[in-house]
Amino acid sequence: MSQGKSGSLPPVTVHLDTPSLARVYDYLLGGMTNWEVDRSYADQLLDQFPLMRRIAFAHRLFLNRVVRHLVGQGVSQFLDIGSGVPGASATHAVADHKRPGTRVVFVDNDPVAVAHTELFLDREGDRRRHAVVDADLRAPENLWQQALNTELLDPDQPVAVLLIGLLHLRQPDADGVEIGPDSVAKLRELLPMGSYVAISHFSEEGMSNDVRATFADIKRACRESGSDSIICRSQTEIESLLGDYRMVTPGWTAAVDWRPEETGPSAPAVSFPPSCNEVIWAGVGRKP
Amino acid sequence: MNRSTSLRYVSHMLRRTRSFYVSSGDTVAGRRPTLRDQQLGTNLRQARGGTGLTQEQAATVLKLSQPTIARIEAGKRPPAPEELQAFLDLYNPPQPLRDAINACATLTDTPGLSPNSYFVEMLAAVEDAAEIRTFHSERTPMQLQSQQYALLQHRLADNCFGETDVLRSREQRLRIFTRENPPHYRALLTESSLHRTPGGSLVVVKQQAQYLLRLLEQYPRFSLQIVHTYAKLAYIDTDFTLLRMPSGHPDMVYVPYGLDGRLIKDRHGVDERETYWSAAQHAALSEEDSRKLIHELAQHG
Repeated sequence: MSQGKSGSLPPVTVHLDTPSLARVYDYLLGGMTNWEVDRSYADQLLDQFPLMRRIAFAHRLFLNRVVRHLVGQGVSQFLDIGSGVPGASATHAVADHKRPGTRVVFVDNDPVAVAHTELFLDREGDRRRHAVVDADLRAPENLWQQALNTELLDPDQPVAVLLIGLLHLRQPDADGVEIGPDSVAKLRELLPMGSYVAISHFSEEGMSNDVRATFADIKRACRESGSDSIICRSQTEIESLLGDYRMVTPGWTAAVDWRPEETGPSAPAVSFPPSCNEVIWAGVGRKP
Repeated sequence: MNRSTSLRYVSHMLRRTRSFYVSSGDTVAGRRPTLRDQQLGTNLRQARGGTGLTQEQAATVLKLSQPTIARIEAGKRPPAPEELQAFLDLYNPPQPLRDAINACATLTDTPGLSPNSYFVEMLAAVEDAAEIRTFHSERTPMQLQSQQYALLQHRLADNCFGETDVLRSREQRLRIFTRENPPHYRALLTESSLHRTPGGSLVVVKQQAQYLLRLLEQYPRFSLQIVHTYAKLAYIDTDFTLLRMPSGHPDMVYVPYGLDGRLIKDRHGVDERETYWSAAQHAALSEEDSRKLIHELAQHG
């Protein structure tokens, strides 16, 4: 796995007077843990790309169904990577609704998001079952060790790893080389037998030309500002992120179409027009 | 706003100088313990030592694991507020050590290494105060700081507290408004303090103004008047917090001074500050006009 010549990672930006993805996402989902700077930015984005809110809800819908399904399959421990700011419909709430007692470790590399999560867990979590870790997917061994250090995860039992709306964000090493797929591959190796990995990933494939054109404007604005943070993968490339894991039925599909029978009470209702139904490509794999 | 303007805004927001970074060392190693975590851990170990309990025994009573106790004592995992209270209840350390532990958990309004004992005493007295009157110029006390303000201030000061510590401390300070039977909290802020944000951030001016308006809306016992630039006031005094205590307990005034401070309890000293506060309130904008001024800032910055 490449981590660049230095083996280290680039610094993580701490967004205190600039928008943060975690807080923008929270605003799009109707949360309260966001600031004026995030809301202004999100409103401008929505003005250009109204689908953004539905995209956020689609990720959340997929998370809801995946967690409910896997709890139903007997999974009792979850590792939610890139968890951002938890809200009312966060992983632990969904899991507890299905079966109380599930353990959840949240992970984010944004220290403000981690702090918000700590406060959230102070108020609404159960410290015997829930924790948050400040760690980075790009250092998967360290992330896994930090998660184990919480003592909430049994390394001899299956773990469900959630990579929801994360991997289409660039994961560069210190040399700017994209190491997201390698990092996921390493994490897959580290997980116990029978573990699951759930991925939801933005994709342009299947978009109509006009929707693709709108999104191209957003990407250009990001690129021109020096913030080229979105990586567009084909569906085939997305599917390769799960390597040799065995797919959970129905396999890879549009996130909004994944196991609708698992929709829980806190799940958002969201759909896309046919012109971009596959804008979020999603699947769950299991380690054989 | 048309499409091209919106896209320019998006580019502008993304292009803004990102001046805050967590170093790659922190990123690889996970959360790096702060000086505060380490000091708190050391104090808790000392407190446990005073009881004769082993880590295993303490863990059993506290329903934690021994490795968790070890990590907390090593400063690698800060205890949550309720956990810290459980430690204090179990260990019941002597008062100086208890004060040191509480001091570790206390942030001052302006970032510093540790709060002075008068500040800690003042915070404890706030819990019982019947009325609080404050005067601040150029500064905003933590209970009136938005999350963004508080975090930005501490990050810029590069002190020993992490983001979680800052937000938790701020939540504790908000108990002034949320506790059962909250005191009347009458704040005077100079107009300059509305514009004096950490690092001069204009973004925070709007956010902070919006936050003050929300506080006024949410908490009826909170009142705020702005001492505007041309107020008919002879001079601007140093910041102070005046606590009117229930009968049988002396009123007091806390005056910060760098890393130190003073806690005035003599009647003459308290009366002097009362007189100044009343004069400043008389010279300040009315509550309604103050709200209008803040609303203007919240809209336009």
